[in-house]
Parts: sequence; C-alpha cells; structure tokens
Amino acid sequence: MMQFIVLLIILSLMIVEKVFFYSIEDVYSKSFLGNFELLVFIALFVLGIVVFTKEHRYSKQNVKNKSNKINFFVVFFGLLSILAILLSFVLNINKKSIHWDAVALYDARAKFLESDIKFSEMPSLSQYDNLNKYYYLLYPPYTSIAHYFWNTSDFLNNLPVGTYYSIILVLLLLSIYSFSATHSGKTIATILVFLTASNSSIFNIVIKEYTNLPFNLYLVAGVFALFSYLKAKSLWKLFFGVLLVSSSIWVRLLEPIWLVISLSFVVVLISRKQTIKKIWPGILLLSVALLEYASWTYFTKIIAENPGFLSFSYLTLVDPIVAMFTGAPFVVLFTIAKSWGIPFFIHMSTLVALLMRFKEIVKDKALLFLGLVLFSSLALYFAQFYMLSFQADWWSIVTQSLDRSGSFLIPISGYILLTLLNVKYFSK
Amino acid sequence: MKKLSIIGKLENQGKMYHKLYTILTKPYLLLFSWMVFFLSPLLGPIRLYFLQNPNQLNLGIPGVLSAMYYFPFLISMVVLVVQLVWIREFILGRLDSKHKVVFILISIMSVISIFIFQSLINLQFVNYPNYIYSNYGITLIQLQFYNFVSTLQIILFFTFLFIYYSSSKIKNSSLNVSKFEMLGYIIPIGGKITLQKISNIVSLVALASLFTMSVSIFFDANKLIKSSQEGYEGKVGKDYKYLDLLSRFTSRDSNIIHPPQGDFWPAIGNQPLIRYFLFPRVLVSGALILDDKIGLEIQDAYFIEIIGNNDRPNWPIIISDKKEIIFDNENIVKFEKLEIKYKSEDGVVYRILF
Repeated sequence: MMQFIVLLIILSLMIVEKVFFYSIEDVYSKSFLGNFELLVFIALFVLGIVVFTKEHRYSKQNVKNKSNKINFFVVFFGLLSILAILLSFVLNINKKSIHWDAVALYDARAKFLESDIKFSEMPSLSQYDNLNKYYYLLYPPYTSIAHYFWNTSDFLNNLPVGTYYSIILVLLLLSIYSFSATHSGKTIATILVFLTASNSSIFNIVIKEYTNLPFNLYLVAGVFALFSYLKAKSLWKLFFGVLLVSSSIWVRLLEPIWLVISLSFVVVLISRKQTIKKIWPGILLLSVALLEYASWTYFTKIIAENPGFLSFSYLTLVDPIVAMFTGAPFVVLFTIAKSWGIPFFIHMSTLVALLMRFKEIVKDKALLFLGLVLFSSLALYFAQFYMLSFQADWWSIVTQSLDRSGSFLIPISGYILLTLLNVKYFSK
Repeated sequence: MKKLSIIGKLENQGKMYHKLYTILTKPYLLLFSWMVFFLSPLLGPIRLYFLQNPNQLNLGIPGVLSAMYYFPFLISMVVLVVQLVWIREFILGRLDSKHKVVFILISIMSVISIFIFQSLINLQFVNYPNYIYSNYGITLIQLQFYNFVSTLQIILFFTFLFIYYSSSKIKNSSLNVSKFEMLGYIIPIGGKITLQKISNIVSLVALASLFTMSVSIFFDANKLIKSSQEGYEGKVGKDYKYLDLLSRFTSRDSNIIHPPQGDFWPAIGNQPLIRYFLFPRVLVSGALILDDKIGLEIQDAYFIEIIGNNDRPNWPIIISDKKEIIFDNENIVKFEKLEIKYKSEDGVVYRILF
C-alpha cells in the first residue's frame, strides 16, 4: 500500500505538470503527438490504479502476518536519516537559489511563465544574444513548472523554492524504503535510506535547485518498481514503473538513461527464454519511453526550431573507432575515474562483486536487472564521454558533473551491495 | 642435523608469532594504543613550540621533530592492525566480555575524537588556509587521517554489530546454521577461499566507502550552513553590484547593452544569467553591435561602465568627442547622445541614443 501511495503522488505531480504544459502550449496541444502522449500517459496511470485496486482486494484475503519488529539498526539509521532530512530542510529554508543553472535556467523560466511567456516563446528572449539562442529549451520543462507552481502558490511561496527539493528527497527515500522493505526487510531498507539520504553526492543535489534530484526520483522509483514487478509480477508496478522511467525524460534529456533501463529490462525478459508474447512489458516500456522522448524533441525541434548542440554524421564515427587502438579509451576511463572519485569506485566494485557471483545472480532476474542497469549506465556514460572527447575539447570539464548526474546509481549500488551481503536473501 | 635446525628455527618463529598474536589480542593493548592514538595530536602543539623556539630543544638528536610528526600515522597503523586481529578473534568466537567493553569504549572515544578533529577542520574553514597548522601545529592531512581512522573504527564496530545481529537472527530462524558458519560465509577467514567470499569482501569494502560518504555531511554541516548563506555576490562575483545598479536605475521596459560573453566577463556577459536579475528588460549583447544596424533598431538603451583591471579591459570604450563607442572590443559605432543616468563609487549607468 505504501509503495502505491508514494508512486501515486510522484506520478500525479508529473501529470499535473504535463496537463499544465499541454494547456499553455497551443501548437503542442493541437499536434497528434502531444495529444497521443498525454492520452497514453493518463490511460496507463488509470490502468495502474484499477489493477492495483483489484490486486489489493485479492491480496487482502491472502495477507500473512509479517513481523513488525523494530530493532536497534532500524531506530539508529532511521534517526540518522531523519537528521539528514532535517538538515536539508534547515539549509533549504534558509537560502535562496544561487547556483548558476538554477538561477539562469530553471528559476528564470518559472519567472517567465509568471509573466505569461510560454516555453515556445522563450527563445525569442535571446533575440540579441549571439551564443545562447536555444538555451531555454535545452532542458525539459518539469523543474521550471514545479518552480512556477511553488512561486505562484499563496500557501507555499513564503518558503524558498529549495524546500521543494527537500520534499522530493522525502519522496525518494519513501519510495526506496517501501520497495526494499518488501523484498529485503526493514533493517536493509533503513540502512539503504540512510546511505541515500546522507550520501554526499545526493545531499549536494538536494541543496541545489537543479534537475538532478527530481531526475533521480523518477529513475530510482521506476527502477525499483520494475525490480519489484520482476519479483512479484504485480501489473500495476509494471505500469507505474514504465511511466516513471519514461517520464524522467521530461526532467532531463541529455543522458538517455531511460534507454539503458529499457534495454536492461528487455534483456532480462528475453533471458527468461520466453516467447515473444511474454516480452510485451519490455516492448511497452520502450514504446512509452520513445513516445515521451519524441514528444519533447518534437516540441523543441519543430515548434521551437532547436537545432541541437552536437553534430552527427558517419564521418564522426571514424576517429573514435581508429582511436580505440591508440589507448584513447583508457584516457577517457581514467578521466572519468578521477573526476567521479569514490562513487565510481563504489559502482565498479559493485559490478565486480556481482560478476564474481554471476551464477547465482543470473538465476535472480530482478537482481540481474539492477546489475544490468548499473553496468549499462556506466557503459553509457563512458560511451558518451568517449564520443564527446572527439567533438569538444571541454569534455573533460563536463566529467566533473558525473557526481551529480550519476547520483541515481547510489541507491541502486547500495541495494545490490546490501543484498549481496544479506544471507537471508540468498537462502530463500 | 641441518634439517633439525631448520625445524627448530621454524618452531621458534611459530612461538614468536603466537606470542605476538597473544599480546595483540590483549584487551588492554587496544585500549592503550587507542588512548595513545587519541592523545597523539597533542604532539602537534609541542612540536610547533620547539620549531618556533629551537633553542629550547637542545637534545642534539636529529629527526626528533620529524618523528613527532610521523608518530600519529604510525600509531594509527598499529591500531588498525590490532583491530584486524580482533576481527579474526571475533569470527572465531573468542572475544570475551572484556573485549566487548573495550570495543564500546574505543567507539565512544572515536566519536568524541571525530567531533574534536572536525571542529579543528571547521576552524580552518572559518578562518584562513593553514590556520590550524600555524596555531596548533597539526596539518589538515593529519586531521583528515585521524578522522579516517576513527570513522573506520566506528564502521567496523557497526559492521560487527550488524553481522552479529543478522547471524544470530538467522540462527534463531528456521535455518539450521551456526552463527560462526554464517560469519565464515561473509568473511573469508578460516575455510576455503571462494569467489563468493571474495565478492563479499569487495562488497564490504564498497559498502564501507558508501558509509564513509554518508558520514561526511554530518561533519560538514557547519560548512554547508555557512555556504548556504552565500548571496548572489558569491556566485556571480564582484560584477553583481553592476546588475544591482542596472535593475535599480533603469525602467523595466528599457533595453540594456551588456559586455560580450567570454573570458573577460564570464558572468555579466552571460545573457541568460543576467536576465534573471534584469527581466523583463530587453538584453542586447555587445558582441552583436558591430555596426549601426542594431543601434538603429533599438534606438534607446542603457549600459553600465565596467572598470577594467589587470585581467580585463574597460568596457565599453567611449570616445566622447567623436560620439563613438566600442561595445564588442573591436568595431566603432556612432551614437547620437550619451547621458549619465546614475553615478556613484560603485559605477556609472549611461543612457545611449543611437
């Protein structure tokens, strides 16, 4: 029940924002893609609620009395987590948005919305700017609409918008707790919540009004929902998981994490040696995610004429392929390791630990899915920076943002590590 | 005969090893070494005193001061080795109540020492770089190392508690496995080393790193609170005062010309950034004013004079007598009229008519 309520809140936030965007952008709302995207989203959302109600009624009859014992670890790490959450509230309530992108992009777009300037009209503000013509459409609208709602609400606008990010942290922790407690028990769940809430990489994005934390919320909640679906075959988790992963595109677009999660999910489903009919959940995830991707890129490229910022042709592939034999991949890997630091070491160690127990892991499709998400996300970051290193000389500076953009992997690696050490999990 | 002497040598080595091992497992050794470790930072001020007053330390022994510097590192390593021996004893179930009391005592001392060391680190942050060394003779690296050892000790303590708790829980459950068999499963000491056990060690190390990442925010709370109180000046830099003047002394429907974006004016030249402060004014990048075209288009605009320094030139370059101005560092543009809208020590706001 807790899982359902938390995911319902997270998805309702997204739906409200989508409907708002749909209502202000006339050209988008009159396009087929705009209508179809919103229709599919709401249909899956309603379907998820209906399926949950049916499953819940059935499971009530079969409910077993689970132990509700609270031990020392639950209390200790629970208190530390609350302390971290309180610290984030104290910091966010007492500060204003001052970080570069928070000011120049996310909060600025909210300010423009307050003056009735739509997203499609924002590029015209840069009429007399030689370098930033499409800056306002580089990122999808989620964060700015949230800031707009916050700033225009009589109830909330007495508090700085940073408070919203502490609330997002609470939702993230609740979603992590609800899923991991179901599958691994309260102790592991509370430790994981503590490791996430107080993690320096995560905490760093809680006190910055950036897109990273909401992005983490949708990705992590989505990955755990799909993990839980693979464990328990509960259809509402599949529908909600699909919506969460695919709608992360409306928060951040530059890293196609939705693609690697979708592919990992498909691979796990195929590895069950089932017929093509049985991999429909994977096809559903890929289709909805592609629809979400297409809807925003359609808006930026066709309606607002955004040309993108990197060129691509088959010729651009020649250099990276040739350079594979000259040691260039090691330079990129070394730069990533140096910039990312301890989190990179943690994720790589997690992969090594998983690989050493591959025979066991491969039998547990849900855990295999988490491992594949971790592996493919790291591979994606590597591939992105490898390709970028041939197109832009500033690529090594961008690797410094990995600590923020890759922070969604912290709870995933944390859960895998705690599971690998959980004797009870493997003795089932 | 030769063979016998080798066996004797080996036996002697074995005896020595056992003797050393027995000493290392003594509860008081860990307590004593931890006390020494805990007090070793006091060597810092003593060393500093003798460094500042060389005549006072007339011992004539070279390297004493260096030894005082490296001693805390050495004692930290001793403490770690003793703790590792204790892990083994713990797994083998040979830790008695005295050991457990010592473990709890040193954990409490670790918590206290982390707070003291972190306060010293914060002092440096609040004051100036090198503050703690110049006042207390302790370097930042030393403090970070003390913190690392203390944090590691606490993590070890909690890991043991966790393993102890979960294994005893499993023992009590339907699984018929002894507590120490379970510990053997997790840590590869005693018994065959398998890939699974190595995987567990790798997982433990990664998990310990995750814990270390989690501990830092509690100790950096002061630093975080201080940095959160930073204003726009902290992020935009000293040019923020110019934005403040422009927003105060120009109307909301005016046109504002700003410097070109680049190394000289990274913040005040960045149009999206300054739009946040100047919205809804129309912003015009100086980089685009190459000729009369844009001037004739906007006709009336404001700009603020930015005084140059060693790192950047003045902006814009005004040639008043010829009624000419340079906004893009290169091209001369004619103007009709130039008037001062506001003038103070902080800057001059001009109105320009093309």
